[in-house]
Amino acid sequence: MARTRRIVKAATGTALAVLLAGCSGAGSGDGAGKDDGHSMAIATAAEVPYLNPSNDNGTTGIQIESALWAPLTRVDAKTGKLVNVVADSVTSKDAKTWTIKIKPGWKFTNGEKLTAKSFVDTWNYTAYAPHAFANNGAFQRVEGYEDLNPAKGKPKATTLSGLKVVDDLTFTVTLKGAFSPYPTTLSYLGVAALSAETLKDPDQFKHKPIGYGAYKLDGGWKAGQPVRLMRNKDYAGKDAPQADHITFRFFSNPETAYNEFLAGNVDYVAVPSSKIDSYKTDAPGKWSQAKAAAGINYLNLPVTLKPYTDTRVRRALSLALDRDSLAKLKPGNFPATSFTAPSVDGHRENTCSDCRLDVARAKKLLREAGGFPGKLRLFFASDNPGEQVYAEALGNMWRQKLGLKIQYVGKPGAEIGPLANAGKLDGIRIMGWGHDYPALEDYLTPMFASYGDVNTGRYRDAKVDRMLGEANAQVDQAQATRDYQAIEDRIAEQMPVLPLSHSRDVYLHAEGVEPLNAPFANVDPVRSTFAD
Amino acid sequence: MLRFALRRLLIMIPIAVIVTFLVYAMVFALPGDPIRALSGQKPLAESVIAAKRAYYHLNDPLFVQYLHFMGNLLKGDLGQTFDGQDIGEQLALRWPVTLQLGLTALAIQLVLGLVSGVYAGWRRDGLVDRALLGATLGVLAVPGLVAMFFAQSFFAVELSWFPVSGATDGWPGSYLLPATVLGVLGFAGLARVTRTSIAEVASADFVRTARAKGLAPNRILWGHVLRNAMLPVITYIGLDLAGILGGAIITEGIYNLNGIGQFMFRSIAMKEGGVVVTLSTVLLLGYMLVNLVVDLLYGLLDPRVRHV
Repeated sequence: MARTRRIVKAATGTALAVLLAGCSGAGSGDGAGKDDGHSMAIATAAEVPYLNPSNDNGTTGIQIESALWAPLTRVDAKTGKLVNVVADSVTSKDAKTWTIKIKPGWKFTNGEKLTAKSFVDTWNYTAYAPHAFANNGAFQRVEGYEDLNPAKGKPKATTLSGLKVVDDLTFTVTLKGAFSPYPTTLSYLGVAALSAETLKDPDQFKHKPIGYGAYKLDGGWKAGQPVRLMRNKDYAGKDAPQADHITFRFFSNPETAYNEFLAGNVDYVAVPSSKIDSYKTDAPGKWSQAKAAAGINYLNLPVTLKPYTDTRVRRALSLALDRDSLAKLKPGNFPATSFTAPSVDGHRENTCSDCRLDVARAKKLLREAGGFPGKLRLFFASDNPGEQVYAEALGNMWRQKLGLKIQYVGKPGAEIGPLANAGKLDGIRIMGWGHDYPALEDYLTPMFASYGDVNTGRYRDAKVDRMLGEANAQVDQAQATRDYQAIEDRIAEQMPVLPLSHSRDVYLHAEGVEPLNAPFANVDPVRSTFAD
Repeated sequence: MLRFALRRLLIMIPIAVIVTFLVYAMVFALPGDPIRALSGQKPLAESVIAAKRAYYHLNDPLFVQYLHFMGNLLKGDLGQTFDGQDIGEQLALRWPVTLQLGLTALAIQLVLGLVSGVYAGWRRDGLVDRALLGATLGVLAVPGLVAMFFAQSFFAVELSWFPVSGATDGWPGSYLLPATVLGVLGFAGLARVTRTSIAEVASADFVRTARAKGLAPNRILWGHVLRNAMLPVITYIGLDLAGILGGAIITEGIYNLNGIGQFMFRSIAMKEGGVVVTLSTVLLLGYMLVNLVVDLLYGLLDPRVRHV
């Protein structure tokens, strides 16, 4: 199965990346109506080589593209519920065949009408392997995906058999199997549409994006230069942000971006990990912490190897951890008490009954299991600043509280990943996961399904797999949520991973500029509100 | 002299070939898969990875990849980076930035180093000489990184005399601060070499003779001492140019100048063998040319080492 998942290494110290629809909330303010020239400059980390949402899965690129395009659906930042943006409705009787109706009146900035065909053509183009578009994997659930992406040899087809244009504004998507969170996945900007003009030769439009979002390019742009945006007067959405002009400036060095903020030249910057002790005094009154925590840091256990096969050992390891102290080692972190991210609809706290410090109980469980023979091998990414300290803190807790012998194995992150994917890690690994689309399912499937993309501990529970299949086939979204929660409860009994913490980004913002910050969306400077 | 220059230019060809292959092999040997590293946090679909690997010939053995690269290079096609940027276009955008930074820094360094070095050497043990000794020791003791960040937060953030970063103000505004820091950091070595060389020549027999004959001190300095003292200085400047370009990687990062240094850094991180080789080849050729000019200057300064 193709992998289109996002793995966030836990100890990078950087916060989980902004991605996906979750990054924008319901329209705040009525910026579209007035024109009093609000403008802002946003500092971003990486440089983007081109602007094309179908061929971009990087945080920075998607952030800029979210201003130039608009998603089909979006998770409301305040309520966590799914709302339609370009889509008029997304419906299904069996969670397998979905009918997507889009709203009339949307136009690309080159004058083309946005139609059902725009989406189907773009999706076919993106899903065709030889085009090598980054968001190819977003369509792996659609029927016919394998014909365009064979494991070996040439593709048998150039279009997905699961996509059908019904009329100008309606198309249907047939999935390989029932999948109830499908409407949520449409909030990902990687499934936005490109203009027919762009699809003829995307290379020609790398630096000339043609979108249908609230903004368009202001003047020309070349890779390496700042991206300047102005309001798109033809934007058909009702949720246009307040800023009239937005400039994205790229900084390869986060400290430089921070200094530019202090000099008053940019209005938004993430706090670099090196400044975590000084930002409160450097920028008093100008810093905020994200309300949303969109991800989870955890320990991955090799549950097929002894002694990790014994649930009591896994629970003992968890109960011996002082999560409060661990969270303090990482900026913006707070202890986790369940297996999903707090910024996802349906998340519950305290589902993990062993995510608390109870040394007596840990000792008892370990004794019952017959102790921990040999050394506990703890893998950490040696090229991640701070990860060694974190690993040693973990090791010390087990050593002091349970009397285990710890062997630290530091390797570059680039080496640990492939080892883990090959199932060759014979120890505990510090990991992190952030969702692709804000759904409970996007934690449960990748981490705990036997076929899960980041289930490198090889946890396999036939009942979990079956329950996932049933929840995915549930058309009633409320019932589906309850089904997913039941799966989490079963996982909590088995502790195949040990949840550690969630993190909330810290950022700086200029006076009078309030980036969107709500419980169900990552902080989004594009959707800032301005004090007048 | 012409034959000497030609011979040196011809030697550059095999050296360039060997160096390009070595650099290419070294980048090839770095751990990690460039295509998998491409999107960092969110892995690509297997079919996309396969398509990209085929496009960039990544499945071929090292030598075949190298031949592909050299073949395209000779055709004038620099190709694309793994993330889809046109390499030729990027070089055209970035070279001016690095050259403006490097040359401005070199100019500042030359003026500071030569003036103070000549003066201190000529008036040895004077006030300026002693002050220079202290100043150069101080400069040599400060790590470059610290100086760069300090200058940025003090002169740009606190005092707002200069832009904090970026090249948007053009030359000289955007380059003045980083170039001055680079120039001041680099002047110490040059000043010390110049000072020692001048002081040494100043006590040579022929200078004493000139003095005894009653030649004006200024004429002795400009007409006799300087010319004889310049040999080691020129050698030093030639070597130093490489140092400035090397320092550009750090400087461009801190001052967010989108030059060759940043491109190089990113390309090494991304295992972009082609880009790294192209950049190092250009740097190498530039370096060899500078050294050729230095060697030719030797001949002009000192007839005893004139080349035939």
